[in-house]
Amino acid sequence: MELFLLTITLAYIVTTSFPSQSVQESTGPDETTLHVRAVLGGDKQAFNRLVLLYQSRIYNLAFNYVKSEEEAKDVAQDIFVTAYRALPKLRDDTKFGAWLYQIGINHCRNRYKKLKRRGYFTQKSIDDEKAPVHLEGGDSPEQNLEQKRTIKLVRDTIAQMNESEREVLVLRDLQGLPYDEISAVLGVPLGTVKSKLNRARLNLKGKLKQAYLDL
Amino acid sequence: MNCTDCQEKFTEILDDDAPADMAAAFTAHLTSCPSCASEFSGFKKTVQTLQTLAKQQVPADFLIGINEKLDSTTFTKVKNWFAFMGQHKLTASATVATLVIGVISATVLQTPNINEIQLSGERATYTQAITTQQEAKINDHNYYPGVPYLASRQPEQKRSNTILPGVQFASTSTGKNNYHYGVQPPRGSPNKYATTAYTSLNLTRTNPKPDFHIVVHPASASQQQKITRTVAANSNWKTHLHNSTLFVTLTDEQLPEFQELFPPSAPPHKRLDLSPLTRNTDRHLFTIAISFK
Repeated sequence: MELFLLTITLAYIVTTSFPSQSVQESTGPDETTLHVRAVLGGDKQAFNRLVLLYQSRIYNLAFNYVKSEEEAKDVAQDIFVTAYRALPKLRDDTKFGAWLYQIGINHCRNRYKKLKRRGYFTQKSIDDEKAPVHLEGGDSPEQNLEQKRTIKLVRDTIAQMNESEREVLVLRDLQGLPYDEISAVLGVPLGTVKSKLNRARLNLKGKLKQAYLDL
Repeated sequence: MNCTDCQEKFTEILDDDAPADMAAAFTAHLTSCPSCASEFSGFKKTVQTLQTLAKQQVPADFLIGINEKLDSTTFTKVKNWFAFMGQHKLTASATVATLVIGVISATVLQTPNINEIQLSGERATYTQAITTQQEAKINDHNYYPGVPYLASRQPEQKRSNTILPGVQFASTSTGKNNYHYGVQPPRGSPNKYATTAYTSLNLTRTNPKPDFHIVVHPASASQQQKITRTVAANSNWKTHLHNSTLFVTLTDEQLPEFQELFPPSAPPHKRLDLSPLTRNTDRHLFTIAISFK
């Protein structure tokens, strides 16, 4: 049953874009840099275009931390607001993406700690089954249901991991960032990123196997 | 190579990042160790599952929310400052600050003739904007001098076409300057929604009355997202956000392009026609408001 579930999910997903590829295609550094320069030149519309380029990735980054649509939306919006205000301080306009992720990670960590202190995640786990999941793209209701189950299982497992492993895993495998960018965003050496990622993947694999996902 | 060494190299091997001799040793170990071979197979599936996990859909009003947060920056700063002061028991300072603000506000609000002073200033700004715009239109179609202040606070003037002496609002041939997208207004009360919508626009001096108002009734998230994205992405239109309403300023030549954003949604629904706006007027610059119900 679980194998069937995973097969359907993967078959659906293969038809959608691959995360790391979409990063390369949708936001070439030139386009982003041009928009950044336009914003610095006073064009506010250019910032809206930057938001459109990065909103899906930043929103999903936030969602992986807070696991709630409402909170993710609020955090992701705050990230862009902070980026807009701090944009004049950006030293290298060709590194807007990594810089935005740095702001994003800081915001997400702070919000996660704040919500955890308030017992938000304990309360949320009770209502989790009722929480809606809205995915990009569309499919048949049956396939969507199976897909959502797999996604929930994977996300819950990731949430149980420790922060440093979770961040590397999210940035590399869910966000599709290159190693050097992850190293810059998290402020850790490249070798550490790779070894942490290997540990995180092994850890996740073990936990998913325990949860009866056919791996 | 033992099993622990082998499993530490999984990511490097998967990324094709390992040196040739290490890759050879890895393959040799995998051939002789079924346990590691099974582990590596599961590892690859895990990574594949992660990298192809469908993304969460971004809410339709995401961009609008960011602009609203940016607009409310000053208010939030003041609010946070007072919250901070309250937390630190500095109520005396907060009270003094409140009093100062209150006195200043009262002075400004009770100053006579301030409306007349502002109106004459706005009229001059508008006339200058129109003249400059007409000159610039010949050379550059992308010129936007900014939105002139045309609105008045008096509620009775909202219904009138004439807001300032000498300035005539453009309107369609039927006299209507609103359009409902997504649903047809109920029979017998064609202006019911329009009245509500105008009230909710909350027009102010910094938020001019639009020449035309489009009310987008409950539509799909993708439809709303498409409209918002297209408007935001078009660098030739000047946009302004106020109370969740998008104000788009564009020239007469850009009106047909704008109309294409609103294809007829249902058989009885009329096509959006902005051409009457440009009839019998010398104006070339129009402001259109888009509200999402």
